[in-house]
Amino acid sequence: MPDGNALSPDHRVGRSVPRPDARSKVTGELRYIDDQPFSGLYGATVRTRSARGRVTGLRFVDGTDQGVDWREFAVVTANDIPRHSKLDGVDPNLVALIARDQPYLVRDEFRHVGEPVALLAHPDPEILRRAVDLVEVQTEPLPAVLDYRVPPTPGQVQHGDDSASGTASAPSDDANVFSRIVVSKGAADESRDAFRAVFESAAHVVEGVYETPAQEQCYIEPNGMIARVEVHDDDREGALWPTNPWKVVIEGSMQCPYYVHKAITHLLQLPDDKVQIIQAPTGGGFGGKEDYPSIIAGHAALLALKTRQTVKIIYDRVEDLAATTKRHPSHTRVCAALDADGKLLAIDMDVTLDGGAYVTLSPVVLSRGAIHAVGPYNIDHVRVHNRAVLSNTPPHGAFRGFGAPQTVFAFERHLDRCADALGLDPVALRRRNLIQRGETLAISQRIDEPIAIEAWMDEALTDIDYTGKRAAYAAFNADAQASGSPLRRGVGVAVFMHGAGFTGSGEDYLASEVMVRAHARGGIEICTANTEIGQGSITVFTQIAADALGLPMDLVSVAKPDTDHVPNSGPTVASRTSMVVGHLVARACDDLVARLAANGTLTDDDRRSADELETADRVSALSDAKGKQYRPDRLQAALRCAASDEAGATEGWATYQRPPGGAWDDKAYKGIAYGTYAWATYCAAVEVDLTTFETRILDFVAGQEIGRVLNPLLAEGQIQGGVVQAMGWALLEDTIYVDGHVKNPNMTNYVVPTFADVPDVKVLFQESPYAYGPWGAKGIGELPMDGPAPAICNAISHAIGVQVDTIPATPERVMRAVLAAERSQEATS
Amino acid sequence: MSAIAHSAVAVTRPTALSAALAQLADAHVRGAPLRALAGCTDVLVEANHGGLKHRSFIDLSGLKSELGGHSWLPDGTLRIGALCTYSALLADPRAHEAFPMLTQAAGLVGATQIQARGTFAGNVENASPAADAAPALLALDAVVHLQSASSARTVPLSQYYTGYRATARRPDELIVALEVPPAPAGEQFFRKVGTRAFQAITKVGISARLRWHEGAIVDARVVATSMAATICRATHLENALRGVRGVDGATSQALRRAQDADLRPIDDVRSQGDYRAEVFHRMVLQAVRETRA
Ligand SMILES: Cc1cc2nc3c(=O)[nH]c(=O)nc-3n(C[C@H](O)[C@H](O)[C@H](O)COP(=O)(O)OP(=O)(O)OC[C@H]3O[C@@H](n4cnc5c(N)ncnc54)[C@H](O)[C@@H]3O)c2cc1C
Repeated sequence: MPDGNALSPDHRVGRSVPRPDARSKVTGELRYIDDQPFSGLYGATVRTRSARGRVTGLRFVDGTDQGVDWREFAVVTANDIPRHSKLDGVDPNLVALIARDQPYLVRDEFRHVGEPVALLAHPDPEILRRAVDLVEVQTEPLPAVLDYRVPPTPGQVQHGDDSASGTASAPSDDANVFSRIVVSKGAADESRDAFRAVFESAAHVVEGVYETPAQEQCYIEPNGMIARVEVHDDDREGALWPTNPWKVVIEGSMQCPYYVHKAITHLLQLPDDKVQIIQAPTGGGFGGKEDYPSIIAGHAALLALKTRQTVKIIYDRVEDLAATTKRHPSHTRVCAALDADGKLLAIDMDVTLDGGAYVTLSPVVLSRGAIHAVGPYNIDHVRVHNRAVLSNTPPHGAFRGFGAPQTVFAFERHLDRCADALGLDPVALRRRNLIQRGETLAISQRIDEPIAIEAWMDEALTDIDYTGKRAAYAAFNADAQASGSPLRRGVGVAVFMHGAGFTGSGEDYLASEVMVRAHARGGIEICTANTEIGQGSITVFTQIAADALGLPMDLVSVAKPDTDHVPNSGPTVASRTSMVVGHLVARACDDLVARLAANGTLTDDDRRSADELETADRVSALSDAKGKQYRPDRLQAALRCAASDEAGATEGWATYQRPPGGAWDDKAYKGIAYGTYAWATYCAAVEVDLTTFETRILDFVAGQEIGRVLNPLLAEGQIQGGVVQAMGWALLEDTIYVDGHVKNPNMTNYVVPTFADVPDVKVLFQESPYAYGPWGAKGIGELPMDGPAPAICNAISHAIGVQVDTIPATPERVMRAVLAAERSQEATS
Repeated sequence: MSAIAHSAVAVTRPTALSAALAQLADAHVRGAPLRALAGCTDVLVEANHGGLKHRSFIDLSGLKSELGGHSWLPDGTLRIGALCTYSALLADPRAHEAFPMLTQAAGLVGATQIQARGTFAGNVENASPAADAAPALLALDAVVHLQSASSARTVPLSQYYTGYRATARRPDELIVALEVPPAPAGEQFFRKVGTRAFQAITKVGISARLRWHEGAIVDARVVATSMAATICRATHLENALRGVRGVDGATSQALRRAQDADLRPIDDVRSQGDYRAEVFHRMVLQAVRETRA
């Protein structure tokens, strides 16, 4: 790391300061939503039990023998919800997200197993649980799409225009397609023929097909919400929809309080100030608590309105696994044209994501997958055709990486197939094609930052001893073959990047705001809507603010995300919290100091003397740590004074400002997709046992350039956690759908890795500060999810000499690949 | 949300075996049999998945002085009390020495926490085709000691399973102990293939005892896990192993044919039949290679 990047020793940023929330989490003192003291009713959800059909009625089966007396229950169905919102005319029953097509409660047609049809509330959770099974949902079946890879028949079309260009027997190309994106560059921009010509004249054309499964986020605690209504005295009985708006307060496990807020104001047709959303301590989200919490919050609120009581809905693990969102399954065909030396001339890719039954977040997941598909390589001619399509399973949604892990898996796996076809070392092939400063990505974004991907890659390769292992494993495998040992070893690599923050102009639309407020102890409170979900955001925000002001950490506190008290700083997703929101925290601190200076609370006398000032201490190109220019005792006095003076400047604000540079063209799918990228090389060494076909990961090195490491221990934890989550996706985790039912909705059969399944993960950081992140930081939340699966499968393929193209690379799959290769070898010999 | 409303269940906790057996007899007569609770690691899973039909339980934890722990009889027989946990046996070096396949199996049940609570008797009675300790016991010719208020009997484990998750135990009986006969002949081989390294249900497993004499196998016990509705011996395979001197192509094919006559594993949510059959076969070959003197 160049020394010019180093921070002075009195910084909190760059140090592994302990997290303030650690103790309560480790000791179990922390109260997750279901642990909180509660009195009220329990709510539960009656769900559909087939993949597609029409609900014709509900039958409440007598349950007297089980203590179920239907008169004691509150029941809410779609009939309780008006069809047109008095605010905007749209059906309030449709969840306010990208497209409004997913109902809170099925009115008529339903599209997946586990779709909510009715809500029940009762004081006794056990009786409630029995009652759910006693509600018979009467249905008429409709033709369901059970395999997203197969084009729909006319009867299966549920989305998109099938009448315009389709015929009765063959639906159009848009049938059941939620979203379509084409990335193109070079000859692909010119014409089909020009693009085809590149392939026709290439020395090598290599093709492969890759598939990935639905992955469950497996946060610590399942989803849950508590809703209460502040009822007017004259309104204790009566209609579900009061003419005179009440206030609805919802607390629960979530990533994005303002997403829930938007959804609930729409569902209940309430003005913004009548809905208050509070984040309860949340033990991990990984995207799984991005959009689905809106539905549970809506359900709890509907029951609360109907009963005028506080209602709690907590999913158990089975319900959570069966009904809520997972990572999109994917099917990708990659075709590469290469010259004789392994230079990639052109890439043609077809990506299909399984969106599940409703649009939800599929278009944006697809977009990130499309943009990351071709990775950090300089390739002249590219076409990536991406589709998210419907199937009759619960909607697939956000999950760490957001489409990128799927496309990166296909592409990085394919590079090894190409190397194999050309007889090249996989790393040598990558070297020949890595992007350099001044060259352009597939989306035509020119990389202007100083990057040194090859040098960064070499650091990771050296650490795992790639060259040594290639040779040693070749010898090991030859010996094993000769002696009849079933063990085979291999080493594999993946090189990739991940853009942080919302894509393109997404951050402009969000227009995030952060506020910091002076408090009476002479410090500040940071108010953002960004949630601590295990990643350490409280710690990092505290470090940033402490350094921006030059105050000790204990004078900085972080407010609980509560929409009544914090501004909308955007969702906690997309690796944006430290980089984008952290930067706003620093700028809000600057703003507060500027206001104190402007109104005379801070004067020039309060400034540090020139020799006390550190010169290299700007936060970023947009923020300068103004507070640090003042003597800490004076600043504290000024903050105390501001906090006590009601008329004075007690708050500092910052609103997102786009860094200078080019724009993003959403139509052409070209331009500045992300202000910056983190760059990474991951290496895996594995051993495959040909008796059982099990893979053991022997060694793993994760090297990445992330701008600035704000907190080394937390950053290492983020990378290791992400790597382990991706190891599960690569080797173990598979959601088994049969007729649209999740067949393994429990932790016994949905198999996530334990410590015994993973090696120590070595983490290497390089820092090349980004001018528009706090002290140069880039986002890292999603990055570690992208690389492990291809690195591991590349290593497996190296070990056994058979391409492994579908994950999870379970022993069953590896066995079939090995036996198929043996059979085809026998046939040819 | 708790799975069992506490008011809805009745639990008795006798402190003497005689009292426990009397309660079982009484409940049996009344037609409302009591479900025994040992470590409870199987029962709680059943309850959590909503499959537990019983509402009346008999908690055996008060019987530790009579049923806990294990002992060695003078002839070297290992007597495992009904409340003996995996951890308890794993702490005894003699067990590792005499019955390595049993301690290997015990060390692969769940993980530390489960091994501290789970019992061998619970594992046997739970009658899962994917159990880990029971197959090792079966390969070691263990017998089950059953007792009721009026009688006591022993049933060889090889006759204990009467069908999928069904055992020879009458509702008024308790398992009081399992006995493993001394000095088992042959080399012991155990291997479990789980869904992951620990906390894993067995997808396919083998517990084998192969006796070699003058370069050939003269006697074989091979117990298969997760290959049929119950754990079971593969008798055709055992016969085919007799006379085997090593692994060549023809031997391998013969062993596979014999195995297929015994075992037709199915597909389920954890694995598939083709995988189970292939890997079981490969583990048989591994057992032959590794036990050869
Ligand atoms: C997380 C987890 C992981 C697990 N992993 C494994 C594994 O890897 N391998 C494996 O084989 N098992 C595994 N199990 C299952 C279980 O732990 C074992 O089968 C264990 O040995 C059961 O013993 P227990 O004492 O807890 O039985 P309990 O749950 O108390 O009882 C099991 C059954 O036996 C009956 N019973 C118990 N004692 C007696 C008796 N003395 N007389 C008559 N009936 C009796 C009970 O009524 C019940 O039907 C796992 C369980 C969990 C929860």
